[in-house]
Amino acid sequence: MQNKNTINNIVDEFVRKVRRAEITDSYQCAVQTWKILKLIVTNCSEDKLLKKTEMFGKMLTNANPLEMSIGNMVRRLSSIINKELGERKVTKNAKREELESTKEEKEKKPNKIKINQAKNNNLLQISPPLRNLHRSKSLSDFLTKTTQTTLPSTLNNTLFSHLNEKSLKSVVQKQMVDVEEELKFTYDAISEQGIDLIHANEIILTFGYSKIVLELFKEVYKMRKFEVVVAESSPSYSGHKMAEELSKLEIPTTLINDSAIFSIMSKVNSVIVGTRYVMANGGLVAEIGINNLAVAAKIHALPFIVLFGNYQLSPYFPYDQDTFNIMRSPDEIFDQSEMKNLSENAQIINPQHDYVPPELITLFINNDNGHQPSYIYRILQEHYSAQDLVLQN
Amino acid sequence: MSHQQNKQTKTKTTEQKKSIPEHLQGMNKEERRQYYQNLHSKKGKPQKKPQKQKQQKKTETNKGGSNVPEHLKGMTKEERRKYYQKQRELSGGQQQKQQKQQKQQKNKKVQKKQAQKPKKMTKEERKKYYEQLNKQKQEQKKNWNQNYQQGKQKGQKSQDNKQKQKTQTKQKETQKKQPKTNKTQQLSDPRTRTLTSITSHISPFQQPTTKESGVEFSESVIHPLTIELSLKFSSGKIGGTTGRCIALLNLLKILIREVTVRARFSEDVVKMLNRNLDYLIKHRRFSYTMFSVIRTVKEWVSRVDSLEVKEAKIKICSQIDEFLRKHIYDAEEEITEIAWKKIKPGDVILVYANSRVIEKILKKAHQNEISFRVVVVDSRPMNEGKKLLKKLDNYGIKCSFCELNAISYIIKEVTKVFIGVAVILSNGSAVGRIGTAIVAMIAKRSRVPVIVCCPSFKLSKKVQLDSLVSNEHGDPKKVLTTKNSKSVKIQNLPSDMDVICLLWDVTPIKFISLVITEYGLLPPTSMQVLIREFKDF
Repeated sequence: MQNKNTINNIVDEFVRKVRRAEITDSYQCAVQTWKILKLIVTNCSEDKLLKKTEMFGKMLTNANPLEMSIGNMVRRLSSIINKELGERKVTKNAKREELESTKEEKEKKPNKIKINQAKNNNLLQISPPLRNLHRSKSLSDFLTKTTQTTLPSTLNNTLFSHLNEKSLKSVVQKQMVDVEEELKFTYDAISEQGIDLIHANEIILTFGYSKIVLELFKEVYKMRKFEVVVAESSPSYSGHKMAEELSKLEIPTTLINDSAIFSIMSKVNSVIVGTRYVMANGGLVAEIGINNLAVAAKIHALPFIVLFGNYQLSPYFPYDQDTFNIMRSPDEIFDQSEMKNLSENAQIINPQHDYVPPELITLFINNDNGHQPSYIYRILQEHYSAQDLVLQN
Repeated sequence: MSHQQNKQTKTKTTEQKKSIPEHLQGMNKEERRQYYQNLHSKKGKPQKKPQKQKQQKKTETNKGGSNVPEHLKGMTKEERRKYYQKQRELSGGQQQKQQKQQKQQKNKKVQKKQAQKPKKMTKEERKKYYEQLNKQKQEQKKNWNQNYQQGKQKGQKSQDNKQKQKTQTKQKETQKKQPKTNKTQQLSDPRTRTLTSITSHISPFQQPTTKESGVEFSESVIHPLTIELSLKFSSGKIGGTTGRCIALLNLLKILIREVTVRARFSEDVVKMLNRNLDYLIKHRRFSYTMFSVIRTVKEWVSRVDSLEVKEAKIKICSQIDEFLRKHIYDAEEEITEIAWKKIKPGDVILVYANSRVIEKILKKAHQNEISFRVVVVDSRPMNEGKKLLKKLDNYGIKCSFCELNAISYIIKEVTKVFIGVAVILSNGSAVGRIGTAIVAMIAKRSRVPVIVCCPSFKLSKKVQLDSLVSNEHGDPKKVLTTKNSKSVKIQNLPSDMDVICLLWDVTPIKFISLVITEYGLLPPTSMQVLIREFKDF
């Protein structure tokens, strides 16, 4: 069909761009994946929703597995679908219970029958206790294994079709629109909270270029006057760009070398920083050099504040510098002309990412609120369902 | 004079009677006079007032007013008229001459010209005249400064007033334009911004030039070797602390050898040294060790007055040689002897930037066939690690290279950290190249020992808790020039953006595990003991 071809073309183009690193900004990646997923959902029947998301999700994440924002958005979609399906099952089972409870009163053996019925219905989910539908989720939900949910089409059509007042697809599409709006307004939502972080005539230290931090400073500077010190982050030197843009907003900035961080840290009031990704244990996978900042801030007892959007939340657990890292070309550090004079024994190391453990971070700021690093796993739970933590192949 | 005025008055009176304007015809003379006085006062012509008043007064009184000469006061008008008619008949053409002369006298310009014409004077009169002129000139010179400053103050005041007016108008305009907010604060002036104001006590960076003022080829001569050294310092060809000390000591030797002593030895030598060192310091600020070296050499010079010039020179040069040998060359050798034994096979040693001592240590360890490898860490703005990398690579040592930002990535492989230092303070903390504090901090966090190697002449009685109290500014261009072509250029720096380039760094004592000097291995807490007991100078 024509729709299929167009979708495939769009997906291929996007995959190609990501592979060639034409799109490096994680926000842009997230926005574009969400558009593609929307297209997929609109041109798909309800039966095949989950399958298609899995299929395209695999394609998109394999373009660049380290670009975790793509995977995060795919997880968002699949979690929306799975949650909807789970709730429908819960309602179905509840209604079934009502029908059967009349029988139970006669037989006076409620529990066994339930279990027997559950065993018989292998296809159905081993769902959480059916009585409280609006119970807040606990760790057990997070840790219990759940099999995949595929409703047989017969059930859907015949017995309980009258239960589905709204179709799955329309609900899913509505929620997708909500997520898209959330993506759009990440910068605004975060910068609104900025005024709780900064007081007047403060000196704030940042690292490199981050659009979220820029927007926050822009918003707060209308209310309060402060000063910013920017550390050029080598080897990308994005700090220069940040300093330029800040000075265009008439915020007094000073640009320093990365090596001067410790000497200036005692004169600074707080450290505000953006990251690439936030991991499930509350740690960061960020631009190289941010760990130095974090350790220095800890030693000087300064608050180390990290701003992130929901698309940066990824459910992996790093424990090491190497687990989510990649090496870049040594050209960025060392001139090729000088490299000729070196022997074979010499190595030049240029990693891209830096791991910051959660003990060094004082505060995370999200679209909704500020969080402790120990709370990040709960946010993960809200956004992603349990079976999507590892995208199944 | 008088008869001319009388003529004018006569003509005016006749004209006045004929040409009274219509709006004044009803008034008397007195009323008209008052009217005209008011007019003239408004227009601001005070000079003409008294003359006109006097002329009007004359018309009233027949007996002479103030302008009538004395010999004619007793006479009436008619008598005066007859007197003047007689005189006119007597003198025919002379009236015109008289009139001309009187007119000329009135003109001030002509008077000046007449004054400027050289009068015929005798020699004595001319002498007196020129003496008076000289006196006047000298007085003018003395008063010139006062007048100039007074004029300056006046000018500044007027400028300040103008600026104040301008800023007030601008503020009013900006206040009108700004949207009304609940809390409005004044924008911080970029000049009083806190970080730059904190570092304002540090002397700013000086561009290396040969057009330095003070090179006057007259009495005060600067030795050509100082000029050579100054260029080497400012361009960075001779960079490290010990390197600069050695170069400075060699220069002092040559200067003292070639000095021409006229009066006392010590005075002349000190003057010569001050001249040359003042020139040197303009190009790059001296480090603490260099100051202490200069102080000791001057002390030696002051103690040598009793000897003859030749002997004194020989003595001081030998003292300088001994200093170099004892405190620098021999000390470095002893440190290498002690320190290379600390490197065990299988070690991975991290080194930051460039240091003579550490290069020697690693070379010696490699020569003694210990299998180890080295990680060289480098940072901006000085990029000294690349030099060390090349040297070590030439010796055949296995090296890896990374930037300061990647140190937390690579520290997990490292077993020991060796650091070179500029100064060790008496509270045990070390002043080194900027970035050493970060290296030590991350090493401490990963429980890797930090070993500082320095000869004892780098110990000082100074105390410093902060990196900003005494530091050095580097070239801000070094911060701004990057491999990216899109970075800001210093000519186009926006007004709200500042660039700070610091060169030195204080690593606190808690990050340092061990200090190796020529006297042995010591903890950083006993630096003060070393200074007290062992330091010669």
